[in-house]
Amino acid sequence: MSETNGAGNGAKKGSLIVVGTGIRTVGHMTLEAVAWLKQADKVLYVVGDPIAEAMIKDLNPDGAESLTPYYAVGKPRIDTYNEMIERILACVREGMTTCCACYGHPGVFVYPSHESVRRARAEGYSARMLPGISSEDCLFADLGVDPGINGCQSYEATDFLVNGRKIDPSSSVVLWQIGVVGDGTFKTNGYDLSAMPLLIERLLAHYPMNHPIYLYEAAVLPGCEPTIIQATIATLGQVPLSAGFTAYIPPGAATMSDPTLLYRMNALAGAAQAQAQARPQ
Amino acid sequence: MAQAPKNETGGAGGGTENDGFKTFLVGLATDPSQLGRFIKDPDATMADAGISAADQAVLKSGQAAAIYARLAGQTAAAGIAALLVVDVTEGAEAGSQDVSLRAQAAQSLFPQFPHFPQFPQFPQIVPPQIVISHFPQFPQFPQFPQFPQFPQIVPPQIVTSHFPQFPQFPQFPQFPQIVMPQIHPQIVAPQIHPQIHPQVVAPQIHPQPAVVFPQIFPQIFPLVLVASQGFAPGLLHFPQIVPPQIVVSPQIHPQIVAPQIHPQIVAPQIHPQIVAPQIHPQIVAPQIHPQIVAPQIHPQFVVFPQIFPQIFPQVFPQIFPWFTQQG
Repeated sequence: MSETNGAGNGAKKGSLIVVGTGIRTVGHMTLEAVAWLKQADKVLYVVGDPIAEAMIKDLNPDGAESLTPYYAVGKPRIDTYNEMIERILACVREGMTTCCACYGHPGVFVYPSHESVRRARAEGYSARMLPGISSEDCLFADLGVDPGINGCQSYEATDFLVNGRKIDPSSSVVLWQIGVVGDGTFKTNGYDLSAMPLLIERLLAHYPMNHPIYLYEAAVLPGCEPTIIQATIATLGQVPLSAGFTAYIPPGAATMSDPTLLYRMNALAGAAQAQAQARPQ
Repeated sequence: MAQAPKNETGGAGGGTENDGFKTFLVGLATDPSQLGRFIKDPDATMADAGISAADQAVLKSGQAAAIYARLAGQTAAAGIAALLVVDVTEGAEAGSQDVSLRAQAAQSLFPQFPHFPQFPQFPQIVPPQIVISHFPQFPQFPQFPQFPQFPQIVPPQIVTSHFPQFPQFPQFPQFPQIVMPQIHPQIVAPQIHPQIHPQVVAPQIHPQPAVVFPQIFPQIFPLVLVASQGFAPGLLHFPQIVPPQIVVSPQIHPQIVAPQIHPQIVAPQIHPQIVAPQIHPQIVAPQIHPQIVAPQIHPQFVVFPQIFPQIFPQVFPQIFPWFTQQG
């Protein structure tokens, strides 16, 4: 058991550190994450590949505990996530240095990690999250996309569909979890994609039917290549998808600058220059 | 180079906890030096680690299904077939041939592993957002209508009718630490720090005041002087023109606008750490604030409507006294 939470500020005993194992465990683990996995009293993990699980058990054989049993077929995922949060906080409240390990980046599309950190802090415990490598990071690398060129909008597919998110066709768009769009439950063998036509309908409002869309799944295991499927908006529903797929939509419209704004920027720059010259020496 | 003996479970291992194949991969994940050796020379590294030829073939196959099956405990006899490939190359001597034998995974057999229940593909760990009834514990959902109110918090503070608050000059020294992020909102920490330490945003900005003052004040005072010259160069003969212009400067001062606009200020005031990052990361501040705050951040956008209505009605009557006399 840890004696302190490391903060040294008199906070409660027990602490939470959230780490990510990356998408491909062999190569994506950070040294800091490995160190915390070793040092923690308890390691609660949600990982998607056997290497990561074996690694965690190897690093912390006494404290490793999987959170995946909280998943159940047909069970709403939000219920699973809330149970995970309660389990994590229970360990923290017991005074343990608790490490929560999630695949990918622990703060990207991971509700339980953020919520656990928030609640732990609210209860007076030290809680911190370390960054990891997300599937979007892998996507940028494997597809050769620089989000800084045209900008990049990133949405969870169901969220994009239901909550009326707005697309700027002149920027890149990343749709996460396109393989589970419209399905809020957990399944081990195929998700209900009956909402896919609605997603296609939304996309066709912004893109032509033959606009390319890249379905991407990062390589999880060493020696494997990522899966990259090129389709079009119209044929999106014909592509076999799994939960691990992320969609990348390249820009479909040219970038349009604002000449008025550009003029005003130059005017302000000129004014600033004049100010500098007029400033008394 | 030592050739390790094959596992007893058919050459491909049994997928047990003491599995050498899995242990080898775990070592690659946690030992950078071992990973470096593997990247440089995978064959030698696997051979040194005692990985069987069949396992080496599986790992080098690049077939995720085969590797999954192997890690899940399936043996070569259970389906991971290794093909023995005979490579015949031209020998050193004319007319001679060198024959070598190597193992390779039979890729055509791998599709027989459609899924592995013990390692299902988990969707991203975000809550489904389609069934709002599943979120009774999230009070922010019924508060969605609050989002359109974001602009209502900021713009009223730049309306000219609020300028009578300017006698608050003594408060200026309190503002500087908030100004800098407006200049480069996309570079500065605001989007990151609130997520890490939402409650300690202000102390993170404190080191910046020293930089803010020299940037702001020169922009204010000379700006008015230059404007007066531009608008009425001949009027510089009237020394009484300048003081009223200096009085105008507080109206232009970005620091007045800053605390009202800045995302670091707005976000914590609205939902410091209860709403945005913790409950629905994909719905919250990072997605909403940039759209709302961005046009508000740029001082020049905000200042213009403030300056002109203020400068012209106030300065002109003083600059052009004869206008009023003639009028």
